[in-house]
Amino acid sequence: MSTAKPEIDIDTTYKYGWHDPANYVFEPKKGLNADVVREISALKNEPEWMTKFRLRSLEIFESREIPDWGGDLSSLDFQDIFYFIRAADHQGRSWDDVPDDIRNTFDRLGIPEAEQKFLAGVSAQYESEVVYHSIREDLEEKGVIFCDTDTALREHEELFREYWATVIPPGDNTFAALNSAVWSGGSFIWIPPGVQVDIPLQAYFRINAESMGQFERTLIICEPGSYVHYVEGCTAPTYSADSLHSAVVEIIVKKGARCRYSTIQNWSNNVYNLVTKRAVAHEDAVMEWIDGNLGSKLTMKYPAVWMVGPRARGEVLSVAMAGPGMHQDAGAKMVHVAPDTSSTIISKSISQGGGRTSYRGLVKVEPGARRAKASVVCDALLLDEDSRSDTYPYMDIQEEDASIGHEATVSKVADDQIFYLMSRGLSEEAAMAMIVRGFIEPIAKELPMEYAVELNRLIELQMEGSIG
Amino acid sequence: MADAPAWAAEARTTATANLDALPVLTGMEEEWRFTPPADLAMTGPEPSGAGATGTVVLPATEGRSARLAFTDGVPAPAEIIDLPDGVIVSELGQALIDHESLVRPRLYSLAGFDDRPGALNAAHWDAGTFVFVPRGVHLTLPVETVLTATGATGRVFGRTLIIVEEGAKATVVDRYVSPDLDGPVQASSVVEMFVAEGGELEHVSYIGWGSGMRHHATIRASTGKDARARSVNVTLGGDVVRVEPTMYCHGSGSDARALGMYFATGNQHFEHRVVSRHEAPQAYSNLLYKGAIQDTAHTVFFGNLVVPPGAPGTDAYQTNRNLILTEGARADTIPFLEIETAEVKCSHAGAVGRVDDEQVFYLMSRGVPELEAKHLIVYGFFQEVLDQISFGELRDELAAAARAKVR
Repeated sequence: MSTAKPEIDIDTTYKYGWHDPANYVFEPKKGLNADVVREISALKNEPEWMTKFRLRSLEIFESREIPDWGGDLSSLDFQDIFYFIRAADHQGRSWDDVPDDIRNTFDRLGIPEAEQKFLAGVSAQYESEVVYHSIREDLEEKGVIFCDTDTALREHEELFREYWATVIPPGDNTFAALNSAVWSGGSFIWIPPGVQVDIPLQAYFRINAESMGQFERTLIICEPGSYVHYVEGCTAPTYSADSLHSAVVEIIVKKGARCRYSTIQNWSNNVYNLVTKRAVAHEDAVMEWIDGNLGSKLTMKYPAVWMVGPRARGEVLSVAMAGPGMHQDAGAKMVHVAPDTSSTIISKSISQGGGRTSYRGLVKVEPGARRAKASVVCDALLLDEDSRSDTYPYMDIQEEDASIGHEATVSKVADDQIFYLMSRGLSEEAAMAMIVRGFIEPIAKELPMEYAVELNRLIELQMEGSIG
Repeated sequence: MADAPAWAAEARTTATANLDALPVLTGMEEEWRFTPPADLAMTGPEPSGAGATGTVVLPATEGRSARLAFTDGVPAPAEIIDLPDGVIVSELGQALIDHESLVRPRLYSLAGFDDRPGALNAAHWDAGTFVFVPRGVHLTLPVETVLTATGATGRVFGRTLIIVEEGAKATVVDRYVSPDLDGPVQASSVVEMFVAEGGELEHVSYIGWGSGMRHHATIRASTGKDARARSVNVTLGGDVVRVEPTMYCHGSGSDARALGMYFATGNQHFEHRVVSRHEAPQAYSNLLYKGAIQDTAHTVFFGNLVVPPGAPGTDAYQTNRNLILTEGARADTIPFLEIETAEVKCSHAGAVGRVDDEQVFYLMSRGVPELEAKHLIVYGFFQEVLDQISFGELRDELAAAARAKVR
């Protein structure tokens, strides 16, 4: 940073930091009030109940305090954000239908290529709305619904309304209220009873505009005995003004069903990422969150599983990496309501270059959740003197025969390990990268191969130049 | 403290002013949400006192080097039994005058009056304990203080200041006891201890109140270079008790341990907030708290290992284990780590479980009755903490008191 004020922050390691020239169909003014909320609802031709829901949520948001725990939110200005930007006037079913500039963006992100190879369905959201959508025909024939949330409200209103905001009501927390008021886009998934979706469905979220707020809303319903793996990725350009991503994800996993939700979040380091994710797991259901937090300025995200049916199981695998100027306040919540439920939280975090990672979690065993079992393991690596690692685990046990354990360690990469690898011919940097890769291996191996490769690559990119 | 020197009077005035100026605690604060200050009788008017319902029989002074006893905060004459030359055991209000050069630089320096519980104690304490062990002196027998409440007054305050000089060694026991009282009685205690280079201090705090007591206890220890401090806290009595031990590793190579056991039964509510702060390199700390919870009791453990920048070589551990003995009991455990130095070894563990049926079954199959089997298991569970109390007689007394609570 030497002479004139640069237009963008120079961050040489962030590969997705470019932005496209803005060319929008509808771009309202910055700021938030009831008129903005009404305008969003009107533009989407929403039914009246949804407009009312939004306005009620706005009231809740305005009555709430901004949290003073977790990360520093003091420089987040809610009136300096675009709440809704429409980038395309219709949604494409093929990439040819998508406006050229936006398609170029997703081409550069490698989405169309990945779709052909690995995915059963793809949804691509650009700013506020989904611009491309497709699903494999055989799944559609089986009755699987995979569409963006706005379309779901138009085309499947009854189903939508039955589940909407039942897991995360607007009053749940400040940012859930904000999302409920201005939500746009996101994915809606309904898997019919017994249907197993064998390869993942994917959504890709891209913020392009400066000072943009992206508020997608995802709702997944797994009917009894079904299975789905949903994957999302997120990137944004690097600007000097901050953007806000505040999503709400609700998942209902019914009897004997299984849902796996993987996120590799790689927002640029000017994005506040404040997300509420929660699943309800019924009898014998399994809910797995795989949560990779590699980007953003500040992330506050604690995927939750409420185990309401006997023998339900919840799992969170979390990887966080914080580099210079970044704070990852990530974790998990497990709430045991029914008997014989079990949960596992595994968290791995890496701090370097002055970054800060925090594990913040809750394990709660409600009265009546007999024989609940929970295990929490948090490991943190500090790569240098300037970085910070915190562990904030809360455990509230109200049942006599629960079995709950928590373990955490914080350590530095051992000099003798580095020395050994260097003696075998590796450079210091390569040795460090290898140790870090081994450290996150238990989580990387749970991801589909191409995502595991991506995760490793992103971590290596972040570590570039971190030695010496 | 009528004749307190000007500096002490001024501290009291400031503390009193702070009580008015500080925001009233509502129980909505993150730090107070598990044990609202109202439940500790820290807010609202002073409780009126329940009226005496019995007397406390003090233990014999046998095996102690000195004893100070306070009834409702009023000191009895010090019982000096066997103190080496240069060791001072004195009432703290008197020490403000008699030992000003020792007391003044340290009193309120670890536990001040910028927060509400600190201000409350600093504004109201009347009598306390001062222990000073000069350089190189080994005090082999423990000094004991006994704070009792009779119900005659609604508030009981205590304060202890311990100074262990270079290479000196001492054991101090603070005991809090009362008969079962009808109404709420508020107790507040603050212990500040300083262990200089190469010194060694064992401090045992035994909270053995009867019913009706609401107690907020602050314990702070500062360890110098290569010094060792061990705080053992045993909480068995009182309706609502909150204990806040903080161990400061101020010198390199220091060794600070905070150990505790608690056993909550009936409707008891205990919260322990245990912290170690590594402000020097190459220090060791270990926080180990074990609790048993029975009936509809509720316990909260909050722990934090704090390693600010500039404390390489830190070696720190934190463990909290809870045994839930009956349905309806509740345990919260919140073990934090805040690490800002890279060259560290830190770990923590928290667990909540129940008495293993198999262990009970095994003992019963060997002819041990069920209740006795539970006694043995609870005793074994607490053994790790009890073993750290070097004063054998007290160890046996506490083990018996804990076992007596098993239903």
